[in-house]
Amino acid sequence: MSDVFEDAMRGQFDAGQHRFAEDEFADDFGKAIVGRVKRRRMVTTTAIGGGTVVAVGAIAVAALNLPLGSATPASSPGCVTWSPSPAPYPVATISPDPTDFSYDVTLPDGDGVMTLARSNGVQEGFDVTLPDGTTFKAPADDASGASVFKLPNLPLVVVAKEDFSGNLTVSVGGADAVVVPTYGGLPPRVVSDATPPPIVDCGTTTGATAIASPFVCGFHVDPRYREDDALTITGAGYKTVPAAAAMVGDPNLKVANPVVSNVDPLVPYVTAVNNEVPDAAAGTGLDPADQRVKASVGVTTGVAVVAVQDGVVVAVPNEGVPASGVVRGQIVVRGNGVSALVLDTDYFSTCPGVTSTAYATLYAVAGSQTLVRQDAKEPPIYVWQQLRGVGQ
Amino acid sequence: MAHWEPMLEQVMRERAVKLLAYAAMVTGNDAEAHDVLQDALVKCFSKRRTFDHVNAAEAYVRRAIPTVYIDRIRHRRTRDKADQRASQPESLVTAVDDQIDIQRALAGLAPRVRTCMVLRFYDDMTVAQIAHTLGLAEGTVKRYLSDGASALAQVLGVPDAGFSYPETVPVISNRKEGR
Repeated sequence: MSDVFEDAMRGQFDAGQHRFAEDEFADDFGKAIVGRVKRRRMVTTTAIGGGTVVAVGAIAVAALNLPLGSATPASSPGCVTWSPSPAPYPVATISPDPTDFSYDVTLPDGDGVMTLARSNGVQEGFDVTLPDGTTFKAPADDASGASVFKLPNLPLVVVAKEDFSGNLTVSVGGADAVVVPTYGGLPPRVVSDATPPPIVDCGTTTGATAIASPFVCGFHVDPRYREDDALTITGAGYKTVPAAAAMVGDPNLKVANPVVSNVDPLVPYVTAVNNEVPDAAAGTGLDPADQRVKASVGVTTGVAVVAVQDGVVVAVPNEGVPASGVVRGQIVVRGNGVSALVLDTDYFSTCPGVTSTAYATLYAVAGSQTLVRQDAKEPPIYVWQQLRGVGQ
Repeated sequence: MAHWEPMLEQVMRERAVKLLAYAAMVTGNDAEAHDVLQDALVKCFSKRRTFDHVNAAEAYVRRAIPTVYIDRIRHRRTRDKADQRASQPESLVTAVDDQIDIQRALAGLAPRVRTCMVLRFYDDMTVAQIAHTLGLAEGTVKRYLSDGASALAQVLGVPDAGFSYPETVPVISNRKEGR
């Protein structure tokens, strides 16, 4: 009996080999598989050294010239922009429960008590229970470690993050930051009740999703250099105008309204190399996962410069920056490298509710989106790095 | 190019046909075989493991196929669609009528039953080994094998009665008699 089944199976195997004999598996799926493996092998490294020519740490802080509230910022796919309340919210009180590592967060304006219970470890994020009993999981972002979600039907974004010392920071509505000890049952300690600029972002229409893209307002940026096997930022800094002109191949390049004014105007730039494509890359100045990017099957690389303050993205390329990025910024595609140069302050749009970018620094962000088929997208991958140094 | 890429490329170029044939047996569906093989390749090459030879890599990927498939079944939200696909044997083409019948019979089995049958009768695994590989109880595996054997026996026209599931596999000894 067993022999009969075994013979039947071997017959099946032989028939299968016959059916697949002409299959071009490697050609059809090879690139996608290699890309997925590379992403799985993704690593995050600590900050890298200089590498650029001149250290100009003060430039990015002191001389940034970002517009405020001038235009609508870019939004991520599937998100809607929400407007913060004109009135600051009062401090939310947080009561840690050391027995089960959960936290009761009293929402302002009598909106009830929300419970944050840690999922399986810091990296997993939180299990959230809303006042009405609704539960959902708020995963921690791989890079920032923060769980960011919008409360349904309330104009409140909640950010929860544990630091290396074991303290939990919960910011409700962006108006207040409260730190409580994770362990020990000590009373909540209010760190900041001075109503800092609200953390603003687009929440999803479904109510609760982590902000996953550094191209988007409100994304929490890990200050460490974010690296990926598949996508590498090879340049992130400032160029003199002649150097920028040479880079874009336009000797008559004028920079009338520079983002950074030191002694001479400086042009922020970022160059990223997509290792998933051997030669020619498709480039955009937007998040490659943005629905405005008309990606074709293959790999699309997006590069941009964003402003970050207190670890949060507070200014992004405004909606006027087209996917091909020529207005106020310039996209240069050479081989599998894609560069973006910021030629004008109007490149940026500050996020809604942000009243000051005085302490912002600029970050290079890059993303890669692989479209396996027209109806099948791989999850995008993102890398970022703070702009440092002036290159010639 | 990373050190693992040439080996992955070699497996895809030289061994994809065999691996697809095996995956098709496990899944009962040619289209799903492609998906499962992709996932199995990603799973095997994503870990910090090096393969010295393409044979070792192929064997590793093949062992991953049943578990990848069962994981997909467990996590799949569109399970009904998959079952619907699995019950469409007309998409499978072979020139031999008998093989078509067997293929249809295999495709008609529940995913776990089919996987158990392949592991038992193609890979010569014991019940315990199948249970370990798929994360199932041994009793469950026996039940699946019984169900699968009954279905296949009907197609093959052989009696089902008295079938048993050995706990061990035959071991071929190279030792000479009389020493």
